[in-house]
Amino acid sequence: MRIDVEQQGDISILHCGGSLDADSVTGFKKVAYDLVEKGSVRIVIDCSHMTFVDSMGLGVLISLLRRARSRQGDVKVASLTDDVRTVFEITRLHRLFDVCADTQTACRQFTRNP
Amino acid sequence: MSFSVKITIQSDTRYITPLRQLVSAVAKVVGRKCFPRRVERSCTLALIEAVDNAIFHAHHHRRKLPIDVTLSVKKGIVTMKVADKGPGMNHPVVHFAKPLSTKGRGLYIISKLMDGVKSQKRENGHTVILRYTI
Repeated sequence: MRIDVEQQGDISILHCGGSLDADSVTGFKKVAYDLVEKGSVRIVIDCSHMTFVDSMGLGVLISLLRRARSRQGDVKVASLTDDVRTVFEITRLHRLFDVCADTQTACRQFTRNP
Repeated sequence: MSFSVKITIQSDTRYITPLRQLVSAVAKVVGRKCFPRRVERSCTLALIEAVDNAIFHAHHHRRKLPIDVTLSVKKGIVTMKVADKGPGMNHPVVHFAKPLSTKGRGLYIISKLMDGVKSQKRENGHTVILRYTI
C-alpha cells in the first residue's frame, strides 16, 4: 500500500492507495503509529484510492483509533470506495468511525469539535 | 459456463494480492453475466478472510506450510475451498466482535457474505468450503 501524508495544520491526512490487508498492515502501522507517537493525534484516512480492506486492515484502523483517542485525538475516514464501505457496513464500523464524504469535510469536523 | 482452478500457495501474506487477482481473472473468464461485480467483491473478501485464517490461525505464520485454494464456478454456484494443515476449529463460533476489538471479525465477515460455510476435518488437515449462489 502506498501512503502519502499531508499536513493541514495539526491534522494529518493519510492518502492511502491500494489494499489495506494482512500483507500491508505492517507498513501502515509504521506510518500511522509513528504519527501518533510524535503527537499527531488528529488523523484523516483518505480511502478514495483504497481498493480493498480485510479484517486485518480493519483491526489496524481500530488500533489506530484507540491510540489516537487515548491521547484526546481521533481518526476519521473519508471518501470510502464502494468495496470498503461494504466491509465497514457489514462489520458496523461505520458507527464506530466518523465516516466523512471527503477529506475536507473530515478536517472541518475536527475544526468544529476541537 | 463452468470453470475451476486450483492453486497451492505458501502461508505467506504476499499471496493475498495474487489471490484477489485470481478471483478477478476467473470472473473475466466466465463473464460478468455469470460472475457479476458484486459477486466478485463478496467472494474475494471471503476467500481472503479464509486464507488469512489459514495463515495465522491454522499455520501460525509457518510460511512453508502449503495452503490449497480451489475456486470453481458451476451452474450458478461459486465454490471456494481453502485447505490447510491445521487442526481445524472444534466448535467454530461466529460472533460479532466488540466495536473496539482489533480481532475476531474474519469468520463473521465470511458468514455474512457467503450462502454456505462448511468446515471439514481431514486426516492431515482441515478444509473450509465457502459457497455463493449467484
